[in-house]
Amino acid sequence: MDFFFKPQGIAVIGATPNPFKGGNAILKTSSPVSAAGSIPSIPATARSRDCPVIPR
Amino acid sequence: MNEVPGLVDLAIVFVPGPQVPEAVAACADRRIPGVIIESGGFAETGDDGGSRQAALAAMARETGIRIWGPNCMGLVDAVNGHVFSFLDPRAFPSLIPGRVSLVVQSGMLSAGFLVDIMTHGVMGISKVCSVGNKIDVDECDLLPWLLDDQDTDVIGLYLESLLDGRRFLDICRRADKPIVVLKGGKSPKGAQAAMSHTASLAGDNRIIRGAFAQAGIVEAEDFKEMMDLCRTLSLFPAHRQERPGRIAILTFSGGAGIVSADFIAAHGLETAELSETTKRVIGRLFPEWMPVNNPVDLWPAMERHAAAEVDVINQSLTAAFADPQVDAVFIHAFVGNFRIRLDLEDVARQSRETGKPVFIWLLGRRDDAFQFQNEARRLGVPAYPELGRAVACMAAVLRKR
Repeated sequence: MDFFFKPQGIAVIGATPNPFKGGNAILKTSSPVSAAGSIPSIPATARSRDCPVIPR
Repeated sequence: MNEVPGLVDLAIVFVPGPQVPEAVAACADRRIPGVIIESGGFAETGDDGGSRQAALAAMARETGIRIWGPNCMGLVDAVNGHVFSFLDPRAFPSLIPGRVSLVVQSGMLSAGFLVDIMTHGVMGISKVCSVGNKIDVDECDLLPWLLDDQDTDVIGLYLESLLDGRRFLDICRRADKPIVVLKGGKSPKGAQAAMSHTASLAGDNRIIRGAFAQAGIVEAEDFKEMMDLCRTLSLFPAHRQERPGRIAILTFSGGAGIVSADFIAAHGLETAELSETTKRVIGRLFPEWMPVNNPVDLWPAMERHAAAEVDVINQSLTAAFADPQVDAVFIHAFVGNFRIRLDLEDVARQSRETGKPVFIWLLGRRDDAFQFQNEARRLGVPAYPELGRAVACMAAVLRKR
């Protein structure tokens, strides 16, 4: 269960730059966890957050 | 997901319900051990959603991936500053770290709790776990983790269903931290609503209530009571009571004293028989015509000494705390009355030094009372605006354990 409470790397699936969407909030609030920054993925486009984005 | 670089051990999923199984399958292929699904659109919405939920549950069983949710708010950890939630971050401007962790089946409720707790400043939070439909991770997974968590002293749960009641009760029975439970869906209509909210099958209320009591669970009747119980228990984490608690009631009102004694009896506690020493010390402050009883009505003594600088309340408090026949002190405070001045720092000190819990029931002007309550919170002294709630919380601390 530690990966829920103390994750080392997070992928946000559904991240979005639209500030009115929940996927944007998750991206903003979960990012401090990983030293490398969180990883927004399918179908994310949050390039402003300096995170790797999948799909590119 | 195979394109995602680096170590990923947690995926947070917030895509439309029909897309969730594909996303979770990708996580399983990538061997990500944990997934929090915050999306709705599962068993709570009907047959289609139910099929999707069943498919996800099967995926968890077959692949070993742990699934938290769906239909939930995720996790907030105020101690470590983690918020894994779709809620607007502006809703969490200042999380107050504390010693209480919550497991909540309703997503928006857990958000509401947080905002309420933070803006009223009533208590700090360790973790809030919103678990939603519980297709895999449930209270029986989270409780052991929180019982081992060094940042948690008290655990509060709002549950609409108990998926493995026997295991849950067994965990609670062996727990060395207080557990407070508010069980939703206890009435037929409530159970029906729980089915459409988080697809929960609720159980028989009488059986659940008896089983909770046997397992040492503190049962709450509503949400604010659950928060007050958790807050109070977190102030006295080490207190152990060998017999029903004996309470000294110090009041400015005969009527409030009587009602307090009624509540105390109803909760299985005792109004203390004060020792002769205590009666003698307090008796010196009283008018000659008035015997010292418990509840101790201090108002006539305050009137008697109104012109002199005699601190009736604090002298009486010292005597009550020192009394070997008293396990806890219940003070009634009327904030804003110039004759009823309570030295909160001294109250906190005496409670700490004697190891006897103290509880305050609070009346007075709204702003003054709010300020008083915040000051009491800062000093670790519980203060309540409702008399019945004060005694219910007292009982949770002082019930024989």
